[in-house]
Amino acid sequence: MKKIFLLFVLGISITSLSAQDLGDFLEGGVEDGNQLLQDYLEPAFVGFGYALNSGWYNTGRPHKTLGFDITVNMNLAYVPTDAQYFTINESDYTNLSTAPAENGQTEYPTIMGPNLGADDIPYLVFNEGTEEEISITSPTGLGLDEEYGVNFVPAPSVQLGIGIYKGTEIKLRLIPEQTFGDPGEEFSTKMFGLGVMHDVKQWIPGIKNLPFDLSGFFAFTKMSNSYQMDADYPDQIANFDVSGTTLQGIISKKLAILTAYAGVGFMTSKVNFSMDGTYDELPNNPDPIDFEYSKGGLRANVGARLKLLIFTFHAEYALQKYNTLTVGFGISVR
Amino acid sequence: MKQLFCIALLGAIFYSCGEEGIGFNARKEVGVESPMEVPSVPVNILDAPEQRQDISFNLEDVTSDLDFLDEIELNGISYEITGIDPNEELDIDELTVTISTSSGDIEFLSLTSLANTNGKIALSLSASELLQLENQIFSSTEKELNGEILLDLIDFPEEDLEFTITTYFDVTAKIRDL
Repeated sequence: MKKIFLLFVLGISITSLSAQDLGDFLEGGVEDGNQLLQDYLEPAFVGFGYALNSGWYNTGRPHKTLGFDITVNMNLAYVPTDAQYFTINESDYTNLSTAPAENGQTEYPTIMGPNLGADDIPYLVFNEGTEEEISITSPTGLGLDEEYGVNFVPAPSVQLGIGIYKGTEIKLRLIPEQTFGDPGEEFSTKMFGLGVMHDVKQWIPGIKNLPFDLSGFFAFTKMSNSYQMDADYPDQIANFDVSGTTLQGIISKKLAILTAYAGVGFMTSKVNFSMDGTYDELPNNPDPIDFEYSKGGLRANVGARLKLLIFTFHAEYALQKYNTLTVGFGISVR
Repeated sequence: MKQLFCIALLGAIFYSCGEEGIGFNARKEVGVESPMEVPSVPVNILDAPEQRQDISFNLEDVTSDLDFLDEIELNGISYEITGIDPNEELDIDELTVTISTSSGDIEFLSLTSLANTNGKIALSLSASELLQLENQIFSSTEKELNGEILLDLIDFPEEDLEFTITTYFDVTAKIRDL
């Protein structure tokens, strides 16, 4: 029983939580643990996917041949209100039931939900009807909305754009594998993204001489992260992989130093989270956590770029399931 | 580094939680077994005398190793009687369980027949009685309740009688400020 008191805190790794405690979290069963974690963490992971798909462009005009830009973005995916809580359908679980909070609350906060006191959070009931039955309140949310007035998932990006030929520009996001932290508790990350922007207006009779720019854009990004959770258990590794694609039509109009632009199209993202290794509580269930989110839908954005000599500053807002604000700066030549 | 796992994992910059911080409640029924033994005697001895047995409920396990324990609440008490064979069911004058507290004794179980309960039975304790028991348990360093079981049989059993009274304490441990 004592160990189970410690169990419930994925997302609460800010505590003294160890990898073994995470193993305890799965005491309700591997499948139940996966489902719970997936629901609890969804807005953070999904939001990251939306954010990572943003900020690819700040004009609809591709660079001229050998023209280039280097742009730094911060993409902030706002968590929608309905993603701050989740409900538990008991039929989806084999060894878990629910009980309301002391105040009657029945919805569970996600990690991006409000920071509630434990008395205001419903219970998760494990092993109901057996001697092992125990009820534990679900983890609370981080409460970013109350703390900062906004509730978003950030994803930075740095990219290079190079004009190649005939109104075509290649965009590249590249972070070679970087490793931080102490040996045995290292965090590694790497990212690769490739985009292509092409001036389609030149191929459309009747509009190619009109005073605006019109391009098509396609890009994909893949980011991989891993974390060694405990130096004493080197096989216990958490992995977080994100990939995304975006297909957009972009229109822009340059007015002196200001460029206004807008885009519309589709995006998809896939996020996978897994915990590899063997945990003391689950010796027969290696690699106990593995789940994935796949999202996609329409995406439309509007933005503006200010260009002062070679320096650019831009901001845009994208309407999608997780609306995303992008701000950035860079240098741009030709 | 471990403490920053979540931050790194999500690629996000979660600086802190809100004012409520991080904590949780864990609620469990902690069962404490009290084995009872009544020896048989020659059948010609009637009017069995009362039997008294000291009883102790130690709930130290509930609180040990909980560094961030803020409070423990006692939500209720239930009991279960097991181990009585059908041919062992006896008539009794009374079976009572009394707990001593610094504010006085509480008789929380009183039965006039002895049989298996087929499950837990909740006791009807008032809020003030629960609070009195809660204070007695959790304010002491031993986390212990002491009392007495009184079993008054009408007749002695013809064979040794063994059964178990299991008392379940429904407690909520409140962990705060992790």
